[in-house]
Amino acid sequence: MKIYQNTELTLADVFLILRGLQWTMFVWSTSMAGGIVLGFVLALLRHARIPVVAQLVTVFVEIFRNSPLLVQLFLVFYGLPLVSPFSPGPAEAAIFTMTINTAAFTVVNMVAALDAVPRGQWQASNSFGLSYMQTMRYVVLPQAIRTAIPPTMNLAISQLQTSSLISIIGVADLTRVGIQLYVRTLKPFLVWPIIGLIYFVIAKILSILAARIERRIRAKVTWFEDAA
Amino acid sequence: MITLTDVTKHYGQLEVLKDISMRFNDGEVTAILGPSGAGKSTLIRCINCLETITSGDIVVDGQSVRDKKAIAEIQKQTSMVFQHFNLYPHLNALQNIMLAPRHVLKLSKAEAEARAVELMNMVGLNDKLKRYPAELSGGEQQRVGICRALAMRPRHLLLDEVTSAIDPEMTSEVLRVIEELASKGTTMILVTHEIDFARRIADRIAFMERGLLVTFEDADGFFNHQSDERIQRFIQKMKH
Repeated sequence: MKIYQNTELTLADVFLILRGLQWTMFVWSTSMAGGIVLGFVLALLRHARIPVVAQLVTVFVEIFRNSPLLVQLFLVFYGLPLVSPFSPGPAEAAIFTMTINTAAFTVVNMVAALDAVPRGQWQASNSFGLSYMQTMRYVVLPQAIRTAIPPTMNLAISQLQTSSLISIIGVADLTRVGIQLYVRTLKPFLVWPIIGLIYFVIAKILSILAARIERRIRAKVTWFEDAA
Repeated sequence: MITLTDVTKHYGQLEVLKDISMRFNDGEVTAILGPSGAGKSTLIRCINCLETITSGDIVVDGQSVRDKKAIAEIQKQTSMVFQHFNLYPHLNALQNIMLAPRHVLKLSKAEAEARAVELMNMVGLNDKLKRYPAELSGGEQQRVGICRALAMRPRHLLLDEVTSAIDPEMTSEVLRVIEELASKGTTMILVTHEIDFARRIADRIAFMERGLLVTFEDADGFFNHQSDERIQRFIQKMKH
């Protein structure tokens, strides 16, 4: 008996790869956007030291920061249907989990940035009767956000790589397409360099962008340190 | 008028203010002198409600700092100029001055800006309105700091060692501004190490040491008829 299998890459595979890239970018960008917004809000809640809420945020952050994303994905994808009325598909589970995961890391970045604003800034504002909210909005956040941008850019780059794990729960992302092509061609040194190169190029573009933004901010942040 | 009655303040076990009672009258300039660690800065920070007192009471124009609801009003009436300026680094000079008047006094942008420009003129910085703090020298930053405090039109101006962090050759430009304010009858409480300056502008002198108010008297009596030997030594030492 003879098994017929196409062991070459064809033009159709380019479209397969592009489709995978599309899923990777979709899950990555929505979870980054959602995670940053959620993390920002949680960081503010924690900084305000609201009893119970602040502690809950800390517990949340510690859990999601110190466990593997893959385990989190399994828990959401296989576990959630058992204990709740939700049974997410692979893509939904992936976006949900990566959003929460990104939020946990964003809280860490944002809390550090808020703490980095000198106490004298709070004192100066309080001295003239500005409230906590006013000081936060007009004095502290504009400074803290600038401090938090570089670590957030780094997080975005590392989450892009990490997102390859979502292929395991069945999202048809770039890595999943790689698995399909490898199983068909059985040529690891043809398929994986191509897939790896695509991740590399996107990550490189992001890091060049990050460096450029960082350089622009640093000019201003140095002023801050001099003045504060 | 600001009245302190038996004020004490602890940081944990450390007692930084011990049973202080004194009164600051409107229209007077009071200088608080004394060696480092005497509690001078803590005292004016308590008046400004930046620190809470452990016992006793401070009443600013009829309102007690112990009354949580009065704190915002007291802070509107007492503005602080800081040793390390504490300007907002992300805002230019004008925006630094306008922030609190706009959001605390609810002035319109135009009103707040007019006030800020007028003050910057007064301190001789009318050509540096749009400069950021990091683009200004120490003396210039502190003059902006004074403008920022004055823009609130406070009844009491509190100055916390405002020239200590400035290069010596630039302190005079700051002192000149304060002297001018004193001559206009602004009520001021200033913590300072510039003893000659205190002599020139202060009506009353408070001398503190290790959390205690050693003496509180007219400037003339303090400098010219000082009977306490220790204080005399201190005055001699600070002159250099």
